[in-house]
Amino acid sequence: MTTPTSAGSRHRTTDVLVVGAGLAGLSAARQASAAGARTRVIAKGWGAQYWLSGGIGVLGYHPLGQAQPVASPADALAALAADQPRHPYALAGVSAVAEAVSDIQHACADNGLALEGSIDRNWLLSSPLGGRRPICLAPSTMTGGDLTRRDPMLIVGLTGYPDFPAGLVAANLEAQDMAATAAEVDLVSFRQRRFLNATVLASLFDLPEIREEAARAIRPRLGSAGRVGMPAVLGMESSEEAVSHLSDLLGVEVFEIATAPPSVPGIRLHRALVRGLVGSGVRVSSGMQVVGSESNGSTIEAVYSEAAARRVRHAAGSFVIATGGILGGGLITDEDGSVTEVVADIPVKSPATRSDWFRREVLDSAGHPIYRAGIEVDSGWRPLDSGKVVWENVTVAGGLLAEAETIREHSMDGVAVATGFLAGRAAAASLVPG
Amino acid sequence: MRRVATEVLVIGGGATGAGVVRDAAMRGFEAILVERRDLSHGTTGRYHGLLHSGGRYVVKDPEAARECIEENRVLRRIMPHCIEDTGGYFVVTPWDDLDYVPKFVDGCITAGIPVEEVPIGQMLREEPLLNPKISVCLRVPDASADSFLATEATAASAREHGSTILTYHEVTEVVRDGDRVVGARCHDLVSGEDLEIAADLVVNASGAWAGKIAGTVGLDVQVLAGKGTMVAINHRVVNTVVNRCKMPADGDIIVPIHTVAVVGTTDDRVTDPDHFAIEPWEIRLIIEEGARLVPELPAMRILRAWAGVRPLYQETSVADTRDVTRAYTLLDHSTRDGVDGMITITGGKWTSYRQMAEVTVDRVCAKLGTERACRTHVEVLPDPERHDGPRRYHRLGARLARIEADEAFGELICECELVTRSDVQRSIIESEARTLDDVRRDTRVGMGPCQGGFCAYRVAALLHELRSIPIEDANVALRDFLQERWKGELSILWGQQLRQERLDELIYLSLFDTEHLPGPRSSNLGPSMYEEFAPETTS
Repeated sequence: MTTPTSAGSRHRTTDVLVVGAGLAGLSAARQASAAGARTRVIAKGWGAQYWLSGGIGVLGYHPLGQAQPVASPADALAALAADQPRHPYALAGVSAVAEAVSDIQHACADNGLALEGSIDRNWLLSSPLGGRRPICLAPSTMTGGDLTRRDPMLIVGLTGYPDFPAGLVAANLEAQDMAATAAEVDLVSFRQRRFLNATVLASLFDLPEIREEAARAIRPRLGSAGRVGMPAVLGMESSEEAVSHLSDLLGVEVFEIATAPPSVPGIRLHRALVRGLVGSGVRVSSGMQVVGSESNGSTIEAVYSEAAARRVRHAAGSFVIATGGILGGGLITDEDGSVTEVVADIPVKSPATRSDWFRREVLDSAGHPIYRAGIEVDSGWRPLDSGKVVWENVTVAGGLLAEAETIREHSMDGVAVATGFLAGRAAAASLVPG
Repeated sequence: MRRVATEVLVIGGGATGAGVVRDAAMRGFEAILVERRDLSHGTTGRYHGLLHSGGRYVVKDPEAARECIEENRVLRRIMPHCIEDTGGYFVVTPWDDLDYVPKFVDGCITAGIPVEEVPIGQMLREEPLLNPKISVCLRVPDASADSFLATEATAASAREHGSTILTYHEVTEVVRDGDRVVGARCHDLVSGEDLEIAADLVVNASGAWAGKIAGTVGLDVQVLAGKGTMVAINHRVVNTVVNRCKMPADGDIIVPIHTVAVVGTTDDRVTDPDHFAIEPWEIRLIIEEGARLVPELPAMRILRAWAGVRPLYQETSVADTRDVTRAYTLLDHSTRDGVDGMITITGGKWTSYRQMAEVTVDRVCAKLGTERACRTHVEVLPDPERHDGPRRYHRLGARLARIEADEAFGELICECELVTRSDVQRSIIESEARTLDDVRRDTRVGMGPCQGGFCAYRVAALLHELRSIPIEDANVALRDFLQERWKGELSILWGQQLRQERLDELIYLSLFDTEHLPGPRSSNLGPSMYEEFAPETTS
């Protein structure tokens, strides 16, 4: 909800306030900060990276419903932009998407995380169930699992960890004509734990002695495997070291395969980006859910976050709203068919009535219309209401934007990175001294 | 076609059919039960879970009320592990007529139902979310029951007594030889084979489908399908069954069951028990009426909506299904239609299923010319978890207590419902679960707030591992289950539950690539969807 401001302009210490700390918000903050704006990020939580695979998916399927994934995101982006001129990628333009993807690759590299690949080619990697998952940039710990290679894989599961069913993964890979066998290893050190999830395991694999124990258990099972795929829990802070250590111990290449959430590679990616921002003087705060804003004419003066004790006012010259769509919590849907934007009550483009929200099959390849609901923006990423700019000093990025079906397109990371990149730049450029 | 012979063939794997086959087996008959899907797949698995005290019927149908309280006592004795002793309230809200109260109390006394007044202050201490404007609260021995578990236990007992339970065997036709029914032909949905079962007597216990089954041999049995829609709220908003103290009507009951509360129901006559819709007005009405009992209800998160079809037998056509008797109906087609060899048991309600089975098997005995006493009211049902010691009522904290005692934290497959790997294993191996939905009915996997988001793939992996099925079958089982969960969410998806559903899409589509995994997109064991809801302007 937005209320008119009571006082005039107050002293401010933030030029660009980014609301949301997913890939869109962090990308926006990086650009705003690089442009010299005093930048701050506030967020309720950490965005979708904790669920996703830790790479950058740009475009995996286009048109939707194709059996074969996109080979080259760059080529498919051009087709998508032509097919859907209101899609965020079309608004961004293919060259800006490429620039943004390359920039995030550098940002990660600068902060100790190697993402491999380029916008010209998708990797095909195993999904946590053995599906073929297209992804543009992949962590270097995962690329050994390239499914276009023919050397046989041993897929290793860990007893007590239910989120990586190695037998199922290998069977699915085999059924898609890839040579894979499965083994499950039962490590004594894990038996002492009451509970094994991805983050617990990742901390354990930070320890060299755990890796040695794992290698001892895996070695007799190697058979003719030329490489070994393990769940992506091989170290939280030292994954590249852990993977190379395991490869040395086993004498074959070891690679990680994405797991069901929580996603350790996603956490690594998020942490690398936050580390970079903090290093360049950007404050990044979580636990701050923005619940409303304060306006003056056609500008937003401040937003309010809800905390346990009181509301906190955050004034800034410019705002990037990157709170995510329905998934991120930036859009609230209701029984009456309404869809509401939470920060600044920006009008949302959505299907007219709730009976139009869904299709009959959950896996419908075109997706459910409600998930394309979102905010329409102008070329400067400012929110529109019937073609007119709603707030002059607000830009919008990521899952909040209308028209994309980021889950079925496998474009969630790429849309966030590209639109965050551009909205952050636009926010910094639009600043008037204050 | 494969052929087998038996003394008694029971058609229908709901509570009644399972009750009949158990009773028949305990009386020494050779018996086979066939069910077209899984046990409890029909109405039994789609009701609100109330073990009636009889209170709901004391004014309208005193005979049904007496029947309920008698069976209430029996079921508490023979299947305590399937029952949570919540107790029940009948409350007078500002929308209800106080004149009903003395009629209700007199009715309870006449029917033999213990009833006591609960002071409003005490009621609000016990159930703080109830409407403080409630003026009268009366306590009766209602309870909540796990109908899935009860049917499984009943079937397990039947197996122990030597009978055969064939799930996923759909009756394609009852076989008639002249003026005599001699068996039935079935299609095995799993193997794709046909099976003919010759029987001395066929018991048609197919509930709302009884008319369809009887129709295959030209018998005219009119069973109305009274659709009842209900929703599950993601919390136990009450720990006591709460009824409105008035003539039974739409949306007047909340039943706490396991981790959720079920609010219901509607009552809408449909022409076909296999084809009906959940309509938006039903959901709105349930929420509005439920809010009269729990004012905060409209702001709460609904996990799911579903509908079951009450079997309501009638000899003549009646418009409002709620005025058709809830007492059961036993038809002997030899006296009614001149066709021997088949009897039909239909109507009734879950609470009286055992009694329905008893009178049915009494008739079986008479028809087969023997006299054998019923023992189902005294012999306790097996507990699949095989707890030692005296039987106790189920209580909400039991699963957590068991996990803590076993230190089985790492064994959790479904965190929402605290289902462990060994629970799923038992379902797959001992209960012969074929689909993820079968496992759900046995264990409650996928019934919590994430609606299978974090457990369905784990169960699919266990199905693949433990059954050694082709990978394509595991993949399609997973896809079928996602569609099955979707079926129950479509009519209630907004707010936080829509957000949850989108997270499930992220996991299954973006992360797992489930839609592209090898195998068919769906199977014949998958769900049959509710119809599209009709445009409201024409309803």
